[in-house]
Amino acid sequence: MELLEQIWTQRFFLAAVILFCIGAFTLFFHPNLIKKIIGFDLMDGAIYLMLTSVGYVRGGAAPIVTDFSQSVSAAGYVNPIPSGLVLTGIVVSVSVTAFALALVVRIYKRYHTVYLDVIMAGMKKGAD
Amino acid sequence: MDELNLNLLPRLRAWVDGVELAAESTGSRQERKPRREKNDQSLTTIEEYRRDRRINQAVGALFCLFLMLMLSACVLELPAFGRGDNPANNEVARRYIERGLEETGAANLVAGMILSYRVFDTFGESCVLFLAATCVTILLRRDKKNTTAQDLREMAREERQDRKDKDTILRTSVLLLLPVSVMVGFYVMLFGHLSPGGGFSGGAILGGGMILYARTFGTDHVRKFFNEHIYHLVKVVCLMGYAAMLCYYVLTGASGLDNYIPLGVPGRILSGGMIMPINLLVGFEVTCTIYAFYALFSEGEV
Repeated sequence: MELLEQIWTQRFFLAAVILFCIGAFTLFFHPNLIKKIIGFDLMDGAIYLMLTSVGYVRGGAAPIVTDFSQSVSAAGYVNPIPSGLVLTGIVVSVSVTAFALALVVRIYKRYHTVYLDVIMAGMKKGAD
Repeated sequence: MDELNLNLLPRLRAWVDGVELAAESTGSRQERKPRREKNDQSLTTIEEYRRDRRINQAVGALFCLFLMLMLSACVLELPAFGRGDNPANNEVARRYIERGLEETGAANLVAGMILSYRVFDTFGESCVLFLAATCVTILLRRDKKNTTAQDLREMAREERQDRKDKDTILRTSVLLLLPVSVMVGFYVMLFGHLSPGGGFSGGAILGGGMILYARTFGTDHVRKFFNEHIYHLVKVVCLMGYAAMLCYYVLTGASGLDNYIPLGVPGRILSGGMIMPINLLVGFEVTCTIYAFYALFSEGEV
């Protein structure tokens, strides 16, 4: 019972872990290069979910001050640091995804397939 | 060593240009013509790889399941979700929230944090985006050396096709939607220090608007006001302007907190010191990059 309660409180972390593992499996073991990139993005998404849930404070507002008359107290807001880190992460992941997709376009132009096993077979044959 | 260099440089250049060297192309392209024969021969190898892959995937699934269990066990031991006294909400976050408004002048504390306490980090992020755009340009740019006559014919055919079906509903709705998306993009950029948003999201909205326009009316229309020359100019000038602003931070003590630019009244648009100009520069940079990604992937040129 206690374990179930724990699972319910930590459900966002658990969702992040499950997403991360699905992404990792796709990234490492799917032969299609495009799906590998999708798996990579899933892993990114899992990390963002993890970070934002670490920084969440129950009942806290978004860290934007609206009342300028009184001094700001930290109690009413969620942690702004994970938000900044997630912003950085999103931009970097967009860049890496674009670069990876461009590489896949070039690979496709050369080997006429995006399936890694077909490419590997061709390469092995070329080496023989 | 010299020979190696001599060999590598032309190969790298050829690779960048997308030209296949005769010696290199043993693997795929030459054997493509006798297609049937190639398939028969390499079928066994592909089958071998498929079988290996199935074993790999079974092992990998077990490994990922194991990883999932391990990580879940770890995650259950983390401090409970959503508690204000968690160790993650430590004195750094408290200081950013409590002193952020008076030190950076930005009502949006996240914008204040990433564009003045952590501005160098954000600069690195913009550099990553710049580098990604450059790399994609290197990989996908279409020029005389890597374009065959067949590619050109196909592109011309596609363009004729696009010309032919004039979709009235699509065009009208894009014409209605475009001003809104441009306005929202500029709003999100300009008010990044007061409300949710900032350079990156505003730039993405603007870039999305440009992609919508290019998709509906053709890239030629976009080239009338945004050609490759302007693209390079905006991209480089924005990043250099950002760097110049950081030079000011370095000169005044590297922390950006001994700010001699007046911070203004919190909540007004002219507040927050350099946050709004930096947001604008980053926004234009992101707009360029997002649109360039689209144009390079779809047509090979901006």
